[in-house]
Amino acid sequence: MAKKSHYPSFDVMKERDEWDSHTQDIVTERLREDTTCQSLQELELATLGAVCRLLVDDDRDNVILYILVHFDQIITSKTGEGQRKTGVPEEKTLIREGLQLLDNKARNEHGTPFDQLEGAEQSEILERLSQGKLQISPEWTALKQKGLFKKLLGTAIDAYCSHPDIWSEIGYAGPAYPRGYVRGDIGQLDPWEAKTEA
Amino acid sequence: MITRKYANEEADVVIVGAGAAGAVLAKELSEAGLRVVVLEAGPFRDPQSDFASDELTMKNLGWQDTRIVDGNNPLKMGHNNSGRGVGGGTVHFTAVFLRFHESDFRVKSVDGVGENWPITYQDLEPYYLRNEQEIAVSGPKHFPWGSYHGPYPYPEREPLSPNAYTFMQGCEKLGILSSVPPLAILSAPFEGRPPCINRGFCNQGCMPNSKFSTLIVHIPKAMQAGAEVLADCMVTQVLMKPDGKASGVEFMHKGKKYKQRAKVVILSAYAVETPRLLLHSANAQFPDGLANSSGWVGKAIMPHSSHDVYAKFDRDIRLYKGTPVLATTQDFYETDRERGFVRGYSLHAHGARPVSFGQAISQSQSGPLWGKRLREEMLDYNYYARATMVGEVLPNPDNRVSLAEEKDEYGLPRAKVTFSYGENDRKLIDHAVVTMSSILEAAGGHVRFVVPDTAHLMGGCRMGNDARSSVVNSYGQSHDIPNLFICDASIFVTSGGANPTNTVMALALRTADYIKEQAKRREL
Repeated sequence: MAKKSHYPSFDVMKERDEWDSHTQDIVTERLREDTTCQSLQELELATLGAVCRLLVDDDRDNVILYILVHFDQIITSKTGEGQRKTGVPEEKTLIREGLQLLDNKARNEHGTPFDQLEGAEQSEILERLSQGKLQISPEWTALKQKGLFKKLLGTAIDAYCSHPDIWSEIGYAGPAYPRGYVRGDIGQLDPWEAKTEA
Repeated sequence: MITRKYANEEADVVIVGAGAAGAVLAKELSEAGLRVVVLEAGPFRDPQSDFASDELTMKNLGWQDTRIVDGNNPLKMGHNNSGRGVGGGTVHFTAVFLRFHESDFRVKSVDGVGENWPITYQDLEPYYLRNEQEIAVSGPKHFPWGSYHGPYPYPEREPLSPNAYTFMQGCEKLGILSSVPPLAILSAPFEGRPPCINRGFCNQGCMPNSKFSTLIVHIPKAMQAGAEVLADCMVTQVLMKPDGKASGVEFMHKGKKYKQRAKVVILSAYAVETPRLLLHSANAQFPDGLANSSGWVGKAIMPHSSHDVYAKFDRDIRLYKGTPVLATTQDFYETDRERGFVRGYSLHAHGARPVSFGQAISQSQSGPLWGKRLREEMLDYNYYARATMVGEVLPNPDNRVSLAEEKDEYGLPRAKVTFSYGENDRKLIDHAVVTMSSILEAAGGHVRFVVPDTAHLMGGCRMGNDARSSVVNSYGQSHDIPNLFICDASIFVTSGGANPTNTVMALALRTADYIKEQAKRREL
C-alpha cells in the first residue's frame, strides 16, 4: 500500500479554467478557509474534528475544516437521508447525540474531553464504537452504535473524497466537461492527467 | 401559484412521475392527441446549468427523502436505485440498455421458481426494437447473448476505458465471452445531440446530452405535442369517485394543495412510491389501499444483487476514465443446474469516482475500513479495477413496501422497505463474486475488496392474469379499478439478471398502445 502520493506535483485545480462554470464554483467553494459552521457548537466541532482526523487519517486543517462544514450542512439541511434503519434515530440527532456520547465516554474513562485524548485512546474508543461494543447506556444498542460509526465514516468520506487536495493527491483528474477524455487505452493518458512520479 | 392548462378541467390522462416510464407514456399519448398532464415530485433541471462534474453535488438526482429500511439486508436507497426530478432514474443511470432474455418471462415453467409473466419475450420484442431505434442505441455488430444479436442503430462505442479493456482481457484468458454492451449513449450525432466525449459522469447527469434521458428526449417531444409537465409537484393521494373509479389526484406544490381531475390515472412513480401512494390512498371502499384486493400491493419487491469486486493492479487503471460500463458478459445468465442455484447474472466492468470508491472500500464484507488503512488504499485509487454484477433476485412476498408510523413533510406515512436475500440469491451472489474475482485475477489483479451492494428495484405491484394474485394485467391496468394504471418497474413479476430500463420503457410503449386503442374506441 502507498504511504504517500504517486503524484506529488499534480494539482487538479490548475485545470480549473477548463471546467464548466457550475463545477468551478462548487469545487472552488470547498477551498475557502473562512467558512464557519452554523449549527454545530464549539465542543461538538472539537470532538468531530478529532473523530474526522482519525477516520481519514489526515491532519490537514483545510481538509478537516471542509469535512466539518459538510457535517454542519447536513445538520442544517432539510434534505432527507435516503434511508434509515428501523431503530436508528434521524441523522441530525444521531450525529449530535453521538458526539456527546463520545465526549462523555472520554471523560468517564480518561477524565478528559475526547478531543484532548491521545490519538491511540481516541482510536480505541472509535474501534469499539465500530463494533458496537462501547459499554454505555442500554439505549445505545449495538445496532445504533454501528449506525453512528457508519454515519460518521460515510459522511466524512463523502466530503474527504470531494476535496480537490485529495483529488490531486490520488491522481484523480476530476471534472472533464466540456473537454472529455480522448485517450482510453490501457496506459494512455491525456496530457492534463496526473503522471505517475513515484 | 402555478399556471395550469387543465386546472378546472378533466384531462384525459394524468401521469404521476416523469421517469423512464412516465415520460414515454406522456410522449406517446400526447402525440396521439390525448390531453396529458404529468406531475413530477422533483425539479425540471437544465443539464447545462444544474448538472456538475461532481459526485457529492449530484447526489440530488436520487430520491433523497428518507425511507425506513429493515430486514436482514436493509437496502441502500436514494441515488443507489431511484431518481427524483424530470427524467427520473434515466438522468443518472449508466445507460446500459439490455433486453431481458426469453427465459426471464417464464421462470416458473423453466426453473420452477417465482412466477411466469403474463407476457412473453415476443410480446415485448417490437417495443424493445422501437426504443432502441428511437434513441439510437449504440451496440456491437453481434451481441452474443439472448434472442437479439443486433444490429443496433449506431456502432458500438470506441475507444473503451482501461477498466473495460482489463475486464475483457481477464475474460479472454478464461474463455469467457465478453462484449461492449448496448448503450443508450450516442456514438455519433443524432437529433442535434453530439456523440459521447468519455467524460465519465453518466451517474451524475450527462452535460453534453450524449446520454439519453427522458428529460432531454421524451419530455421535450411530449411537451411539443401538448403535454403539460408540472415539476415540483408531489402527488399525495389518488382521488376516487363513488362508483369505484379514479377521478384524479391531489398534489402539493410549494406548500399548497391542488387537484387534477382525469379520465385515466397512471402511476409511474417506481417500485417504492407507487405502492406507497396506493396504500395510503385507502378509503372506506378500498380499506387496504387502492388496487389491493389481492393483497399484493407492495409485495415481492426485488433489487438486483450488485456486489462489487475491487482488485488492485501493479499498473494504472484509472477508474474515472470513460463511460462507467463499457464491457459486459452474460455467459452466466441462464440457469445451469450444476452451479447449485437457479437463474443467473450479468457482469459489467464498472468505473468508480473517488467518493463511490471510498464509500465502497470502507464498507466491504471484511468490515469497516478507516484511518491509516483507508488513507493508504485511497492513495492507490488509480491502481484499482472494478467489476460488478447484476444478479437476479427471486420474488418473495415478505420483501415489501409498507407504510411506516413516521410521517414525512407532507404528513404522509414514510415508506418502509423490508428486504432479505433468500438462499438462492446468496448462492448466486457467491458464484458471481468468484467469477468476477477470477476475471480480474486473470487480468493480473489482486482482489482486495468485495463490497455488498444492490441496484435497481422491481416488483411491488406485479402483473398477472389472476386478479387474486396480482395487482395489474399485462397492460398495467388495475384489476380492481379499470381507469387506474400502473406503469413502471413495480409491475415486473421477476427481476431478470439485466439492467431493467429497456424493459420498463418497452412496457410503457405497450401500455401506451393499449390506452390509445381504448381512446380510439372511446372507452376511456
